[in-house]
Amino acid sequence: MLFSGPYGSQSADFACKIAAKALDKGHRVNIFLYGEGVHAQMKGQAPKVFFNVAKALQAIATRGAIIKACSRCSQARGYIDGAYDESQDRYISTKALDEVKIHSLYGFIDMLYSTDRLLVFGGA
Amino acid sequence: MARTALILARIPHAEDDAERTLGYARYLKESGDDVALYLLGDAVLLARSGMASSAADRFWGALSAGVQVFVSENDLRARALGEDRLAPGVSAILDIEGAIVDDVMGKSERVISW
Repeated sequence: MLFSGPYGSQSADFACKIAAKALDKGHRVNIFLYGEGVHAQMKGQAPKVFFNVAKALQAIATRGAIIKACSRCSQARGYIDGAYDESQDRYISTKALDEVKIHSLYGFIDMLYSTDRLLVFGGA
Repeated sequence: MARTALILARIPHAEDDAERTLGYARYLKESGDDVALYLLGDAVLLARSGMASSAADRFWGALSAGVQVFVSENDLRARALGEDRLAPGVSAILDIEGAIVDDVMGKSERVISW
């Protein structure tokens, strides 16, 4: 779970790097973006010197990680601009990375059922 | 003997959570667990020798109790710190992400992270 947005701290960097390493070692990875962490899903991130969190999330998703973002947190921060799409099991967003599914908190509960270990990064 | 891995990635002197994590590490160790503490980002600053603060006191307490402490070598270098500045018994690891994955997935029964 990622509680902090990118670039204000290294929390998102750590989450992405540990997730990538876990995939390297053959583990399955689920990532849930929560609170300020939903900002990690923003399209168009272009940090000049920092680790690019968006590209890291896209790379992790391409390798099979499932990434979801809390719908309430996303809506509060302006990421949702369409209705819930049942066929895709996600809320529609033109601002979020395609690789991230905006989903209710029940999506996090579903992840927990199939999770052996939970790491939490970031927070106030 | 159970094993617990703790991961701390927060600024050590500005957050109660960081101090609590260190307290948990010591408590778990003194309760009989095998305990590993991984320090990332600004949390590596805790592992410098000669620190004096309430967070540092808790760190020393955990180290003295036998908690294994590992710090990110990359995060040390980013802060212009060499391994010669670390407290005795602390290990710097280059691939700390790999070490964390191996520990939490293969050695520890539980993980606490902040």
